[in-house]
Amino acid sequence: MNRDQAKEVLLRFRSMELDGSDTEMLEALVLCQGDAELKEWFQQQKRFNSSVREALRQIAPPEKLRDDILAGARSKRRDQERTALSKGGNDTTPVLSYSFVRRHREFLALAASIALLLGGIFYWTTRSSEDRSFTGFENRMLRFAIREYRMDILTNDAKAVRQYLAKSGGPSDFPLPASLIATPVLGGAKLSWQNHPVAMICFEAPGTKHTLYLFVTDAKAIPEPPDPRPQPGKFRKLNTVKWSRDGRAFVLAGEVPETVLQDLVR
Amino acid sequence: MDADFEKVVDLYYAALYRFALSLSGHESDAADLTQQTFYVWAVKREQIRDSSKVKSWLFTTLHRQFLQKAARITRFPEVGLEQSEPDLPDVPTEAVVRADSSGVVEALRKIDPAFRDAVALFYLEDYSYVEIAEVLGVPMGTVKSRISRGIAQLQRAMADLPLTAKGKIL
Repeated sequence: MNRDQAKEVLLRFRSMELDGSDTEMLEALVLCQGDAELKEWFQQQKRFNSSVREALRQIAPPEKLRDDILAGARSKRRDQERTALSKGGNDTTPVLSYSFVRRHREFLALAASIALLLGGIFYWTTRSSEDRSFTGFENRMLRFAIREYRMDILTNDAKAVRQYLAKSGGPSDFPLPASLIATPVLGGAKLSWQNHPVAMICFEAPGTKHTLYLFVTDAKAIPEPPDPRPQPGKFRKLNTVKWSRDGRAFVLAGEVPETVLQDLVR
Repeated sequence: MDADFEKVVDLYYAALYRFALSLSGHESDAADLTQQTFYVWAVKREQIRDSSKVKSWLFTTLHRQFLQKAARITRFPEVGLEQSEPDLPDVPTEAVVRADSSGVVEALRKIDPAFRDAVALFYLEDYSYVEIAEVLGVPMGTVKSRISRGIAQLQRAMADLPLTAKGKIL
């Protein structure tokens, strides 16, 4: 084991109680004893680890968290018990019996087919009546951000996000304002709207812990794309700004002041 | 809710929250993850007969919840001891050593996600490497490598933090 290898092992030293049986660690500790510079480095590393450990262990959970957990768990438990009762037990709620199903097999099959057909008609009519304007696109993306957003790729590397988007068939070569390029990236995802690919990139809003959501799609895919000049807006708790450039339409949103968004897209 | 369930919540909710915060970096996400973990526990706890396994079950479940929420994580190549880079950290400055909680959480967000969970468990709990490997579902060698590389990145990240996040310099 050389000095660099010893350092890599010693970085993760905690105590002899926890690490005393780790042969790699013991070897590194022996090397340390015979090397004054390594010993000094190790002492500082131990102080660093101790400081970080103390800082993290001091974190207090929110005051209401315990009560919220208990209240929520009670509710989940009640739901579970209700479900268990409905499958058998003392509940008197009538349940479809096997003999009933057998006797009325054909009627039930017909009823199921009609239900499926009606469901399919409902789906296609609501889908065709969905707002296909830019406002419709914007609202759909922002609802996604608020309710269910997930990133396909988690990384701080903006280039890696674009490479992922390119590989997934999403927009990837779009221009961004300089201030937004300088903003830390959190990750991204390839989405779809009305069969058009959409890129989502998430950023860390400057000076806060909020996430910024950027949605990008082909401007030709949407009637009446936004102007090249950024326009502010609001959607529920999100402030937004939208603009078009080089054939792409953009929406940037976040729980940050409008001025923050305006500064980022200048 | 029965007394046993409350006892488990009281024993572990703070530690789980700290783990969740180390992973997510956001207080609201951390609270959600912690609650969700206990909801799963509320439904499935009869399946855990050995009470000594409860803690690691909770941490494993929370970790899984976090990964599901984050969907997919970019994988980083494992670096073995024999391939260690020459840029291991120098002696940390006092500013890096004297860190406060928010500074550490902020710095953790900046390290590779693939290393973050191992580093968080390394600092937060007195788990052995075997236990950390079980929670994360990876081999022990991978755990050690991730912890070493993660700590090196954490030191660099903390060196870049603004002064107020780092704490006072002596």
